[in-house]
Amino acid sequence: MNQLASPALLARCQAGDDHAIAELVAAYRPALFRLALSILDDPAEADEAAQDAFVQALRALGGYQGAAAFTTWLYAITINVCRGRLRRRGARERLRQALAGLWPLTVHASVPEAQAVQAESRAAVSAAVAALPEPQRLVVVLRYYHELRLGEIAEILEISERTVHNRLHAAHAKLRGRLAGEVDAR
Amino acid sequence: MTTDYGISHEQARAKLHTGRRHLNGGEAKQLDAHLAGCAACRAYANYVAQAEPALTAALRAQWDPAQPPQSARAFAEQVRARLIRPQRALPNWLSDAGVTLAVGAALLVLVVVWIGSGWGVSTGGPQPTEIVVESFPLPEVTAVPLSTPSPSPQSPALPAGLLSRWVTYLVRDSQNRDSVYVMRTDGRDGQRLTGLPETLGYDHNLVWSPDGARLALVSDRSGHPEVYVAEAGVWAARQLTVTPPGAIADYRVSWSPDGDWLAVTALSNAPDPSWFGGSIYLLDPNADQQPFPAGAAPLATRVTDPAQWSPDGHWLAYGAPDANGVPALFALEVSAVLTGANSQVDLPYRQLTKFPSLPEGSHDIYLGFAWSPDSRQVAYLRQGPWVGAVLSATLGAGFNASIEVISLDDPDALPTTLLDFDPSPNGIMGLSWSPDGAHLLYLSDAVTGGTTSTGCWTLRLVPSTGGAATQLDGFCALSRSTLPRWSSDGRYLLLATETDLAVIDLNAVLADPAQVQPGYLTNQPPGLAHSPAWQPRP
Repeated sequence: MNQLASPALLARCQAGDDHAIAELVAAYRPALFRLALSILDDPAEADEAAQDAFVQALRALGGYQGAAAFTTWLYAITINVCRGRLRRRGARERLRQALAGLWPLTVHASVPEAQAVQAESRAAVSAAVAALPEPQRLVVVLRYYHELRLGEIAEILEISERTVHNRLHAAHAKLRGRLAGEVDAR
Repeated sequence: MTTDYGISHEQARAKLHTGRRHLNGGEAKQLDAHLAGCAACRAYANYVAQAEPALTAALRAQWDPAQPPQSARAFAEQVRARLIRPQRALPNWLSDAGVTLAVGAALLVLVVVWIGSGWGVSTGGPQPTEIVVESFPLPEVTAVPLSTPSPSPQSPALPAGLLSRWVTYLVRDSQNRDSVYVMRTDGRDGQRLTGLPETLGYDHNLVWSPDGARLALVSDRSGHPEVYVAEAGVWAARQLTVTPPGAIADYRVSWSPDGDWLAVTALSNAPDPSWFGGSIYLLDPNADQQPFPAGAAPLATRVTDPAQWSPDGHWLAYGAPDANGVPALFALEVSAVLTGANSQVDLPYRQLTKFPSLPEGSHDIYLGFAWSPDSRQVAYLRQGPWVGAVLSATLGAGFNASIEVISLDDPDALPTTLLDFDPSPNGIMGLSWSPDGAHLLYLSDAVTGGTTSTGCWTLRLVPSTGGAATQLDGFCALSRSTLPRWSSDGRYLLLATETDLAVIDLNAVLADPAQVQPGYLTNQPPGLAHSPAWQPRP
């Protein structure tokens, strides 16, 4: 991950400088969007989350101690934002289910195309990852999609490297059974 | 538990998760020794070796094709709007009734957001309190007829030479979209040029040519940023660049003093997050539809401050990291490039600021720079030390700020300090030099002689020969990034206040800086008026 956010650029961003914000966004938005997308799996919501993360980061810049790479710090903020959105999704889903108990809602059956996609091996792998508990899913996504080092993952998630290993191992234990056919087929 | 194979099973798994390419020789040997004696571990290693690429490929196939729904420009604009809006005082144009309505709307939004957030379920982490603040909207664009900005009843008393000048400015609507407006300095001929149905898109970065005949601007009306030039009074824009969609996030332009060239700083839209900064190119403002970048090597890369042409046309100054990664100012001898005296691989540039590395990796930085009218000096705001990305003051240590001037006459010249802030305010931004060379101007939100933020950004004038800064009281500047513009004789300043565009007469200001009476060019514009610029010559 890069550590090239210059203090001058960050100072100008804090002050609302158009050019500086455009530069910061150009430099980091693609990575933050991908990160948010890999957690939320919704491009529109991922873009909103990336924007929330930028705003929170720029407002909290005084709290950035410089000990971690700027990107690591940004990733940590983005993950917090996404986790908040996931929790709100959970609450909305509970509300939807509660309402469904009162008024019957139309439930859309899976379309054949979606079933066909599900049958493809990559979709099966993705589905297996999606089925992991959130802590394990995050570690898998950061490791294998964002290709971060384990030390970076530990720093972003504010956990020990040993916990990262344990979560990865637990994730693989679950994935191994589900992916056996997919992996063997490669 | 350590096994007979030197490391435990857990340690072996950890090394497999780490990946062989990240292991040193000793660690790899330990792992191999362990695998040689542990069949279950070998099976796990084989699984991981096949699963890792399968996972990466599947996740890439799932997410790589997705693109953010908003353009980079719109995204950056929204980030900026959310950053600056809560810091602004409630504008005067909101009447008491308006305040009541706004607060009511805020409460309503708060309730809706609370319900929408899952019936008050805690979300953990920092909460986006800006949701509530954002419910104070900018004025509705329908409040004033959009194409006819009203002349102000408090028009400034300007000399005849300035009265016929065009003033361009941008008005941001409630959707955070900017439209271009023009008017004469006496309020005549006001019209909205863009943002109309036939000119959809963001137009921004308006820069007048030195002769006042043309206006360069950047617009994404084609769907992505391109550079355009419009003739003053005609306003029909010609497209200069043809940029591959998605290649460039934004442009900044600076006219050469003779009007023959545009120095274009192109901010790449490259997805590589390790990339940083822009690249500088020269563009012919008389040629339309130029493929850009057209294969030519840029004059500079990793640019963090866009190029500014010196008044004599000899230099281009810009900001970029130096060899140590410290933000620095550079000056490129662009006249040598234009005459062909230097090849593209041997560009004659000079590093103007050389801030030394300080203990614990800290260093000073510059915050804004300005050419002297004679092109022989560059002034800049210096602040530091910074530790990582924060001022040392936020870590409990002291810091310094000053205005320094460096001469280009002597390559070995050391900077001279024009003003040493004591104590040093955190909130200082921007710098410009008056056309007559008499003053330097900057913005600060700190109380005079102190560090405390007042929440009101005021102009401060410093004699270019040194001396104390004079604070211009009586109004707040709108934005720290919208710098005031000097009239060509250096007597008047055009700026955006928190409500309207205004002009101040420096003769009157210097006579009584505590009672500055701006003359207003606009009267409750249909949105947030900002970034004004006046025609250099009629």
